[in-house]
Amino acid sequence: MLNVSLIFKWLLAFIVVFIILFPLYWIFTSSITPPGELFSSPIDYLPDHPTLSSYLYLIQHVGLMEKVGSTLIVVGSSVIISTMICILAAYGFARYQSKGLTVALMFILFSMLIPAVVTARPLYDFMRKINLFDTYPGLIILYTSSIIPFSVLILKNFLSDIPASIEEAAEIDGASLIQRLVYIVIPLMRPAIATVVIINFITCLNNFFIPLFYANNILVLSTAIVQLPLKGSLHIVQWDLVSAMGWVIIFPIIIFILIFEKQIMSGIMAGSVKN
Amino acid sequence: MQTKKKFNLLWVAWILILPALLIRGFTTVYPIFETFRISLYDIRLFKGIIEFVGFQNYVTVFKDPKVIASVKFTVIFVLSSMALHIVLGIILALILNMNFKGRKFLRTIVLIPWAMPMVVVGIAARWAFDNDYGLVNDFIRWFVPNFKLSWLIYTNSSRLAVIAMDLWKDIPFFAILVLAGLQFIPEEIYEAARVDGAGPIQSFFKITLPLITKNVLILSIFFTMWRLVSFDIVYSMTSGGPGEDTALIAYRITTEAFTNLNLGYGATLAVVLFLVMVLFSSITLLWVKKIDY
Amino acid sequence: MKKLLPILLVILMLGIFTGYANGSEYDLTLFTVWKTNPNFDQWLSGVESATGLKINAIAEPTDTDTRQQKVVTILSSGDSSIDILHINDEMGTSVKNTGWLVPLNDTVLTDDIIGYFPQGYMADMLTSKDGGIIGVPSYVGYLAFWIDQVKLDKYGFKSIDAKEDFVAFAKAATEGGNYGYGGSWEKTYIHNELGIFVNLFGGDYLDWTNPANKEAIQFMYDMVNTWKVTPVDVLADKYEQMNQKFIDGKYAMLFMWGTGGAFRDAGRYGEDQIHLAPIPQFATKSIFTDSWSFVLNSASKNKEAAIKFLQYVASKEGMVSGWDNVLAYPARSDAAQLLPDSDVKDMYSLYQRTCIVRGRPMLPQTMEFLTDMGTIFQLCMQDKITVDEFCVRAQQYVERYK
Repeated sequence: MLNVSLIFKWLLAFIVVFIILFPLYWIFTSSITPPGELFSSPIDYLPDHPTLSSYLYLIQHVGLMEKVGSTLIVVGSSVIISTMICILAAYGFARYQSKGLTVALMFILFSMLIPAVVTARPLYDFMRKINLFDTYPGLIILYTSSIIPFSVLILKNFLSDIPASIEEAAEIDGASLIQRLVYIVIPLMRPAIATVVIINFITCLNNFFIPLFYANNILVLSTAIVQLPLKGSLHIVQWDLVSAMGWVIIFPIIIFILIFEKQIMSGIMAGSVKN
Repeated sequence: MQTKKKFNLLWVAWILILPALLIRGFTTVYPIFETFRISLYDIRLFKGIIEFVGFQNYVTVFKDPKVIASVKFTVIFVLSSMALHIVLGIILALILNMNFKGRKFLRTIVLIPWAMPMVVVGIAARWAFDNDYGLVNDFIRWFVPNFKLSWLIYTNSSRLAVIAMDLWKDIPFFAILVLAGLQFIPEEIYEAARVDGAGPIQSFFKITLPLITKNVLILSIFFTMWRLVSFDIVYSMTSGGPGEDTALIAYRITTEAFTNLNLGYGATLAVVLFLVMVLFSSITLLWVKKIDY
Repeated sequence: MKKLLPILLVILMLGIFTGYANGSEYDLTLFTVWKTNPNFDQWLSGVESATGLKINAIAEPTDTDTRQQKVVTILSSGDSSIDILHINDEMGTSVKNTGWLVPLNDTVLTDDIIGYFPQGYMADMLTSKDGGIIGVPSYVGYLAFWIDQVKLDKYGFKSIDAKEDFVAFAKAATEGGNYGYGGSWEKTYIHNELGIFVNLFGGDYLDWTNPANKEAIQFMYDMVNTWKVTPVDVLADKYEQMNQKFIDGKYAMLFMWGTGGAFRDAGRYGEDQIHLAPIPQFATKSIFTDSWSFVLNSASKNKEAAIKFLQYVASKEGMVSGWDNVLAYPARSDAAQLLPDSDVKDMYSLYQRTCIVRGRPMLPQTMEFLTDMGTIFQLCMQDKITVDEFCVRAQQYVERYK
């Protein structure tokens, strides 16, 4: 009896893993298949002559390193800046009470309702007017804004569950606000901060809308996949390059997840329960 | 004495929240008002037309066949995707909750679709659904040889494909959130039920389901709203095709605003979408409050 | 320690921002689709040394949707960060009357050289209502006729000279899962072939009351549904898919832009394999030409430098350099003469001599027009609307988007 149940479990698990990994595997094999052999029916899942030529082509002609650099600058800065200001905001919301504050909090949370498409065009025109279009600061402000509601939500809820007694004791001992923040509050919030940083990092990496519409010169990885080189003619982009670019994006993500799986899982779950 | 101290220092709180509030406000409040303002104009940049037309755009919107097609598919998309999110999501959550050796590996793998950009999924899907060279048909041919279907040129199959890709990418995330709720159900309840002779299916329906219902409902609200504004998938996978059959409303809006340069019209659509979102979330939140016991 | 880290990072970032803000040692910013071509850098240095300019070249998105949006947004919002853009016909027709581009009649495309450019094309595509010519074609391309010689031999045909040959060959080559005629009939691509057939039958793309137009649609319908020489799958195919199928031997002939780079890469280009062929004679012998042109943004702050650039690319040396580096067949007939002899040169000269060469028919609201046409065409091919109904709706679109 026990065996059947165990087999059943492994079968289900296998199905799930297959559904997820099989397409990724196909993308990978496509990326290492030489262009001439790429389109065969049925699909050759073990390429006869694996080659890294697509990847090399990308590195040489797509300025991959430059894009990685831009992506890191934008995403890294956004995550760091937003985390800092959201820690401050979370403290403000959690440790202080007033009608005005509640309204402000509701505003931030409900602003999640506003889809990017609704604000896109005027925001675009506005960014251009104040010369923030296609600039690092401009992009960083937009990215930061997009992750503020989530960060505030998680950090504030976490902080609300921590009694203020330690801080009050410190205050009595003469510690200033800044000292309390830095030496007590932030260390206490470390798990939530870690979660928020990791999840926001992924969210920002995956953001396609913002770099697409609010930048020209600055190119990040997520939009790179719609800007691949044209080989041979002005009218065609090849699957071998697309798949290689896809894996360039996917691979670091997988590594990232493998390292941070625990934090991500606990973060997502913690966020949901507090809802 | 505590309250007095907090009250005196209220201005501190405002300073603390100011950066977050300002940045968020700056990128949302002004644009919304501006969008609403523009929706009252007929702006067609290619023809150099900019004229005030009041609410005329709103009237046109309700009669425009492209908009109607968009709305139709958006509704179909949201409803079917959500229904499947819930059913398959709960099932996946149960699977992730199973006690067996591969659990950690499974939970890690399941994070991958969530962590990938939707663009990559969409573009890969465009190729995957190709009749001759795509993954999907190749796989189907393992079971049904000589299977042929150009997924992306027929309305129903392309819509199905879009929904399928949305599910592939998003269900794991939903499932993990449901899983969080599952964790809170103490093992003892199941023990007691087993002692009373209840089988696993009965346990699920009589114990698990009622306990996670509220959680699932609240999650569904958020996920529904996210589906309503889906853009990336259509952009990368079908460009709204065939015809306009998979043009979700968010895609329609950006096309009008950034490609066709019909700014006034695009803004009108955006306002309508926004109002729908507000309406939907208000209704559902009130409803949730009501069923909160 | 924990306090220092954020502060250091902020300083670092500030440093980076300011660094990037001062990146303007360039005379000119060029937004081009050639940027990702392997020989682009060579071409660019040629340009830089001939003009003495330092040029910042940015890659234009290769995805059609994205590219359209970017270009249109840059021009319509008066974005001065980009001086010269590389645009195709669709974009050209939609922006030529908007005033977002600077006319080049007096500065670049002067009377002495304008004669060497394809006149009909320049008038249709690049000339505004006020007579201003707003772009310099960076190459000339033809939507040419390609045949797989292997199949021509196999089915015993010598050449495809007229409509009867076309149909006969298509039918003969349709067997064993392969088809006679291949197409790229995806919603936004079909307008190319639709235009060709309308022209071949002597019709007028902008007048759907013309009976010749209806004949053309009927012909295409027959290809898919009556004679079945074209698979209905082509309704999903863009050029990538169509070419791949051609290379794989699934089609016997098709119309395609370019000089066959994809075929060469796959080792299928040659007199005995896939090659250019003269246009068959239907009611007329007609061919489309297209180009991507360099245009000057009205909002540009570097107009002098831009003019220098444009003068170079419009010159004979510039054009020849284009061919040498990125296989851009010169738009100037005198420059084309300077090229070494080749099959491409021969065929292109043949086209110029024997065919009615036209630019593709486009309207100001280009994308909407061609998308709508594509949509109803697909409906017609799938038997959801009749050919007559198609013509009625097509005419409505022409009226609406004029």
